[in-house]
Amino acid sequence: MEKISTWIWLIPVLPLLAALLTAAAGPHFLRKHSHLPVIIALAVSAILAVVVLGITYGTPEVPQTDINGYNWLSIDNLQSTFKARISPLTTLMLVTVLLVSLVVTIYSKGYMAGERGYGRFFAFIGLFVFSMLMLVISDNFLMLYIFWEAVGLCSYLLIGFWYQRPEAAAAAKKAFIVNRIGDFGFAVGILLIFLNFNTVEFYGSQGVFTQAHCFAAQHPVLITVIALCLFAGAVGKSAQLPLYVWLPDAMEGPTPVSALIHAATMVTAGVYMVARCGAIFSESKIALTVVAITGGITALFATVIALVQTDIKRILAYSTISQLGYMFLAVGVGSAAAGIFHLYTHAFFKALLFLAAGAIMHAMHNHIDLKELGGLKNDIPWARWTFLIGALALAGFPGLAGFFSKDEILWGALNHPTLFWLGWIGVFTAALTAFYIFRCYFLAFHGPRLVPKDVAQPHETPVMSYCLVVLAVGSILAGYINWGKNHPLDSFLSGSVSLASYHRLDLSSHRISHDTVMYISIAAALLGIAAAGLICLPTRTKADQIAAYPTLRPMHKLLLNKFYVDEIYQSIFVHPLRFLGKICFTLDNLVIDSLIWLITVVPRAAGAVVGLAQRGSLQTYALLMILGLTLTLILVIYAI
Amino acid sequence: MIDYRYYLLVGALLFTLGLIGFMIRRNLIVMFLCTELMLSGIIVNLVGFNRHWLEEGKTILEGQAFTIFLLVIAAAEAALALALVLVLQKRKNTLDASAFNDLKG
Repeated sequence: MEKISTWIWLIPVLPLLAALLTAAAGPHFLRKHSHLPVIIALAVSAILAVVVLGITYGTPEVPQTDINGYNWLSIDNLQSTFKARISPLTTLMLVTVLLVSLVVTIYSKGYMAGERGYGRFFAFIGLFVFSMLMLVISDNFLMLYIFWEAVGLCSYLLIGFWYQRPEAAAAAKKAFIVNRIGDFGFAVGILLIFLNFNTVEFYGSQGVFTQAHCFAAQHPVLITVIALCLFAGAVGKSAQLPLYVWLPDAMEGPTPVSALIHAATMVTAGVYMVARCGAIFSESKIALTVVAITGGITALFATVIALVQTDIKRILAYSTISQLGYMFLAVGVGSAAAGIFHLYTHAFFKALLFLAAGAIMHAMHNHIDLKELGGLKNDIPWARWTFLIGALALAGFPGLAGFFSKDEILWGALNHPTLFWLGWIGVFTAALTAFYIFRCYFLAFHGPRLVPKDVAQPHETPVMSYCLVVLAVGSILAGYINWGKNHPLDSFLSGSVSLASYHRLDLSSHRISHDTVMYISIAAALLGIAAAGLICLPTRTKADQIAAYPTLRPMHKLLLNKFYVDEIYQSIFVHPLRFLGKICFTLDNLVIDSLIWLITVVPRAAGAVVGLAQRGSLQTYALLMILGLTLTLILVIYAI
Repeated sequence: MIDYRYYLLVGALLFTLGLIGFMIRRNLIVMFLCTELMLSGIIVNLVGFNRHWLEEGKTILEGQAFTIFLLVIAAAEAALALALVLVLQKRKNTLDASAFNDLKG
């Protein structure tokens, strides 16, 4: 492992430098070429990350290395070092993040061409990727938290990239504030960890993960509380129930940003963190159960909403939420490696789907609603074929990326001694997933041609199409990394201490074999695709006719309005809080301001009184001076 | 030899004249002359007190020496003050002291 040394720092630092360069020189010198520094930096970083992965993979013994950086905070017990942790888990994350970010950034060159703030966009992207990379390699909770927040900040900046549009500004604020709620829990968790463990370091002889086992034996309740607090942060960042509301709105940002957030740099952080803190989570049965149930229910919930949405990007957003639910389900039932595997495959096909949706949007002059467009298969063939591949991968069609990882999650869930019912929810969700994504595909690309009026000639941009092809290849091949009898990725990932602690749990009861699960999930996927084909292929209106059945209509309306969750939050939380804010504002205005006014009155009145003596007449001053002097003299000479 | 008390008397007289002039005249130049008069009264005091020491039979000349210093300083200060007066006159085209009351409370 001596081969990896301080050059590992180049991986996160290069995007940062590129971002700084773009921010400084972008508006005046780089202009149209603002994408170059970030793309070059990401490419170099991606190559380095692949090299690191190769080195880690090629090392037979358990490879865990710390590479020291800068010791930036050292107060008594509170030591926080910029230290890189190289383990199978982190290297896999690095490669995933960088590959997807690189493709998305190249795609952005075509997508964002001619936009106002072109340089700003790429500077933010560089910063975003830097934050995520630092989050991945961080080696203590404090550093993790800082870059956790930095990722949130960058997502805010990018979602609100078109800040002139009120919806974009509102979406950015919503994302930031909702994340804040989760992050509060995360911060409390970290404080609890520091109070109880006296350190924030992950590893080492006194590290949190090292002590977790002994600590859990003494304080079983406290470890559960800590795990749940950390999970609250993950719920916010990874958009799970009940804090998922920001993600569907986050599509107000440019489409490449959505791809980046959904696939690589933002929402995966929560899953990664829970997997990373395996030593803590695996000590608490309750916390794991909460994680699994949250994940399973979220997967179903978001999928059901996605069934009836008509905005392609919105469908994809709910799809991301449900796929993240799968990942949490996997972690919760103890097969964290399957969760990370799904994270990795999902990154490819979800980035692909989003970028394909972006290509549709680009061709259709920002129209993305399925009510306005359809039958585009001959207009934008590149987007059509790549979208199909992405949809197949998402649906879990045999042979594509999503199939392998979803299979493992379902196997892990179905074999859990108590939570196997979540596995069946997962199977049902898989069928619905196949249905909604193929409904989207069939409506958008098949059937009668339907193009918005203001679009004269739909066209595709070559650079974007190439990126789509790259991701499509990734979506097909990514799953084969775990192909084979002994599951090479699983054994590689279990080399990581965090995942090994999940591995040790060994919750599975092996009631259902791998092959059976495979047939079940293939059946579910094909069923979903077939249903979508039957309903959406013949006519565009058939689905609406079905939804119009009296028994289904209220249900359809409920789903169309996303269970009214936004409205409920609005009336339960936002309005009361806003009212409270108004009260505070009024109090501040009336009480505090008048108090302060009273305080200022005293010196002002005193000044006015004394000011009377200042008549501006030189002679008066002299007279007063003489009188005063005389008085003093008289006092000095006679009185004393 | 003249008694030193006469010197003090002359000094006090000069000082009082200057003071009164300063108080009742409005013209800046006259007021300035009056302050010079007050300064002269004090300088005469110095000379007078030095004489007192001489009468006592002590050969001390600090008082006389300081008088010379003070006269030099008074000359420098007069140059400065007259320049200021000139500036004031240019600003408001008057020399009336009551015209310059911009800082009154």
